[in-house]
Amino acid sequence: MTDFETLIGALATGRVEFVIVGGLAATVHGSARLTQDIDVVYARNETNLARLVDSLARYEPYLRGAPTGLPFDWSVQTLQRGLNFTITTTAGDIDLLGEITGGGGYADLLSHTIEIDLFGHSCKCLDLTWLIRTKRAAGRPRDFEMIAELEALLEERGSSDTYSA
Amino acid sequence: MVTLYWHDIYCKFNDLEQMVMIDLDDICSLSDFQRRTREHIRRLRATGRPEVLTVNGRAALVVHDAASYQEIVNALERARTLPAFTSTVPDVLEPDPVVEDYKQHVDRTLLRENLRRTVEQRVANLVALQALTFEARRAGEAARRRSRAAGGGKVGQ
Repeated sequence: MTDFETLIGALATGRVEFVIVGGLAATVHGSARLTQDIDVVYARNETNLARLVDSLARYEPYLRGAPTGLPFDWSVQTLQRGLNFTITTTAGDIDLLGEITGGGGYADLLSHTIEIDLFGHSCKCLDLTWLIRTKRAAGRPRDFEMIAELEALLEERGSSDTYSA
Repeated sequence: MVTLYWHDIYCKFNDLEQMVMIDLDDICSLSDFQRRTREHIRRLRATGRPEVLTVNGRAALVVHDAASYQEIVNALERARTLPAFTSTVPDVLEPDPVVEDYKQHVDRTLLRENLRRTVEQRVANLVALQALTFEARRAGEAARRRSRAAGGGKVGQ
């Protein structure tokens, strides 16, 4: 079970630059669907990678689904060598995404985020319209239901992107 | 924001392809190039296409006129900085027939309830739902273990 509060808290207190996307972002916007992990798009600059490494190190990050015992070095160098990482930790699962289809990287997404207060931390979350855009662009059949729900939320809320809690 | 669609991207790469395309007529030996340098330079400038120079029958050098070389560099730079990720994302969310079909089955009462809640309440619900799911799975697994221990009878779906 993913401890959302612990992981979000670790990233926020570690001053990691990240944008919440995926199922948790859908929940923020009012989705009734269950998500079991956290998806974030993180900035790829070296300072941020170092913060990301420091903030999650105590939760023993490891590649999700990989056989146990494989050498996995949780370091800035490892993050620099890859882009998107599906990670499991002692606090649960988190997907660290350097880029997402239809949205790009952290800097590209910034202007399409809303500021939310989550577990006492100020966080950036992808806005509803861009969440739909990126889900559409990903084109995965399993996302159709979620896209339908997100578009229904947009209709229920009115077409404005202005967030109202 | 600049939005480029596949057509634009295709055209840009098509231009690039034309610039770097090598025709069989554009292959000659290094010694021929040295012998008739002026003629080759005229041709390079006129066609904008590169020439491949061979040494002992093998491609050894590619020669380009400066202007078309710069065009290639510029085109590559444009291609490199292309916001390709926006290419499949239309500016307006056009209705998708598949999504529209799924949308008919969305329980909007749940969404309306959620929209009345704050972000904190929505996330708290998610955490509670996750705990419930975890507990239900644990209970199911325990029941299956008990069933196997008792002789392998099936536990409901």
